[in-house]
Amino acid sequence: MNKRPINAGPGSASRPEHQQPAQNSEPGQPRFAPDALDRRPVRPSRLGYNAGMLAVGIIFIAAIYGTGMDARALLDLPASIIRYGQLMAAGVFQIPDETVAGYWSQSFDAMFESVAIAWVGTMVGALFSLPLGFMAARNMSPLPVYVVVRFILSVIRAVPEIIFAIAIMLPLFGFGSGGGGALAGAMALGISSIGTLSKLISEAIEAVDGGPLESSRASGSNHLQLIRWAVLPQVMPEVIAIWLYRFEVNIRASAILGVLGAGGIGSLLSTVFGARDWDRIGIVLVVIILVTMVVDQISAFIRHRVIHGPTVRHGGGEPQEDDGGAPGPGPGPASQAGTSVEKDPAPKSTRAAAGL
Amino acid sequence: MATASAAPSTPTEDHRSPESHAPAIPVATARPEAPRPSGLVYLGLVGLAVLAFIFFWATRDSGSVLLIPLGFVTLWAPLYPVIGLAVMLLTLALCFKAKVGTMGAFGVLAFIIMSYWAGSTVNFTLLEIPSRWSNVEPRLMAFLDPNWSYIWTVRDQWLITMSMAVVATLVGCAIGLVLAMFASPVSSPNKGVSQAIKAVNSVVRSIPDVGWALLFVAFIGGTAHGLGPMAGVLALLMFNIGIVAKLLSETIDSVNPGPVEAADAAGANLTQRNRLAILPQVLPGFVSYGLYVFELNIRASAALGIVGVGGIGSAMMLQLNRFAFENVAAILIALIVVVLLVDMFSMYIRRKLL
Repeated sequence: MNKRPINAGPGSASRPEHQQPAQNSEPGQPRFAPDALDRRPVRPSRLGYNAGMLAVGIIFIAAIYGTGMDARALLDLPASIIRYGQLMAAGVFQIPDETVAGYWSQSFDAMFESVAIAWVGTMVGALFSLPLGFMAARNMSPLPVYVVVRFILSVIRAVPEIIFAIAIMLPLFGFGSGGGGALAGAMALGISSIGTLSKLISEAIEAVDGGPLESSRASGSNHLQLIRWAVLPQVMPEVIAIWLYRFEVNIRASAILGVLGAGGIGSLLSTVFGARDWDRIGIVLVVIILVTMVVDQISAFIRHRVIHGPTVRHGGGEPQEDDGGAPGPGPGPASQAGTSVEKDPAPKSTRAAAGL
Repeated sequence: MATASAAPSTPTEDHRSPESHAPAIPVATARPEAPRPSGLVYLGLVGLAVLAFIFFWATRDSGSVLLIPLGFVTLWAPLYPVIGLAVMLLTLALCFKAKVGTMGAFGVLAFIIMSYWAGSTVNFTLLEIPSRWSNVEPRLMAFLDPNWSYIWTVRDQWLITMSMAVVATLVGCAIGLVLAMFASPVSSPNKGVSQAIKAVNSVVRSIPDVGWALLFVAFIGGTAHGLGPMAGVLALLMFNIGIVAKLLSETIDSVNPGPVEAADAAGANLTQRNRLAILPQVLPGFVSYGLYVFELNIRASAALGIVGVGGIGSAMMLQLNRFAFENVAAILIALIVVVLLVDMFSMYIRRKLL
């Protein structure tokens, strides 16, 4: 019945029968006449793309001139990297005698102090960020509250943490490692964490599954009960992941506050760089890398565990004994028991926090 | 914490397979009980709490002592570690009562120990705020009354900062893209390369931005030698490479495998496959990471002025060392405005592109 040539061109399969021009033509004529649907698609204009690329290129070249960089400095760079790198390596790999062992332990102490600063800062931020996150979520709070809280959060996010440190915290708590500088750094980190944390948490809350919300509204729960039973169990894994990310970020951020006098690894860094003591610089850098990587690994493990729940054995389908109190296995994992969970990356909104 | 542990409940609906389950007796309507956690492991956790208490005792630096009169003898113990121990034991008891699983209880305990350790390391106290508030007040007053006329005098520095951010962002994103392609097992030539690049990247990422800035200032000289911007760009560059490579390689990991397989089946080599099957998929993410990094760069270059890279940060530190807080306040307000503007701009671009 259907005598259309096989190679009728794109679009022929979807063409309605009654439109076929071959229906009323005599046998000699080709049964197929191309129509608009059979044309090859026109390549879309790349004018906008090219103009954008050109603009980026112009801005780039203008920016290179704008910085007033001296490119000749780059020529010396490899030589100085090798020279100072050798000095640093010599410092790291020398057999530790009394003084060198002292350098190592001093570096570790300073780094641990940085970790402590970051932890306290994250706790302060976490304390405020959960309520503020709820206030900044459109589906949880009325419009006026939402607008005001969002504005405050974006102002907090715009201010770098050194400003909180300089303006408020350092004069308030004092300088130096022992003299309250660490606390000042922690508080500055905490205040400046609030902005990012609340924003990410509010995004997690806005992305919550509506089913539990509806069912708890239907069963007559008030606002607090709704949050407690419908929202928190869903967002808590992601919130904990966000907090952990911020902890990692804060460890790095505490270094810059340390240079200002807030203790921790930053103070040590500015001391050893000030003295240009390359042995100690190498040791401090190695300690920073070691501790940061270990902390990152631990926090990645916890994050994975919190988001995906405990690893479930194949076949049985029964949760392991220690399943009980792990903070809510979250929306998904119960249903995907037995499947591999390794490939799932962290949720998108938490990934955005990784860098800052 | 013990929220969602309402036990995976499948009491009903199982009538069709009576062999595998107990026959449907009234239990079907009752809510299943959470399993009782292992008491032995809880005892182990109590032991951990006691170990932590001993550690806190040994490393305390506050002299406050708690006296416990028992009638025949008066025990003493340092106050804060005892409070810590009480909190830990109380929490464990609550967890046991609420039938929290052992892993959850361990998590809570580790959280408390970590918090106590961190708090005592930074000497956490809020009691001194009222007495020291007088130090802050003049600064806050100065910050609330900025020197508006100063804002325009540092526009050259602003130009340098913006230029540094642009250069570092563009170059850093380009290098980050290449590294991310090598780092993700989806797009890299082989497993060894991807592991090696990942290791290098995590080393790059673990040195904080100020560490990079200090390094490059030491390598090629800072603002004092007129080389601040170069050092600043290099430091921001390393900082950006770390972020972009990490985020982007995670994005590549989770790319849709369909086009990749199609490219493989059509006989594409690695470059063609990455160019045609992977790059278009990650491009939106790449652009938004780039904008995000640009925002970070402006904020970071203000902060890195402390260690002598060029730009607005240097001007700010100069004013700060002169205790000219009105001028610092003017710079800060301009900084907030600039960051907000960049934020809005990048949101606009993101909406336009994605």
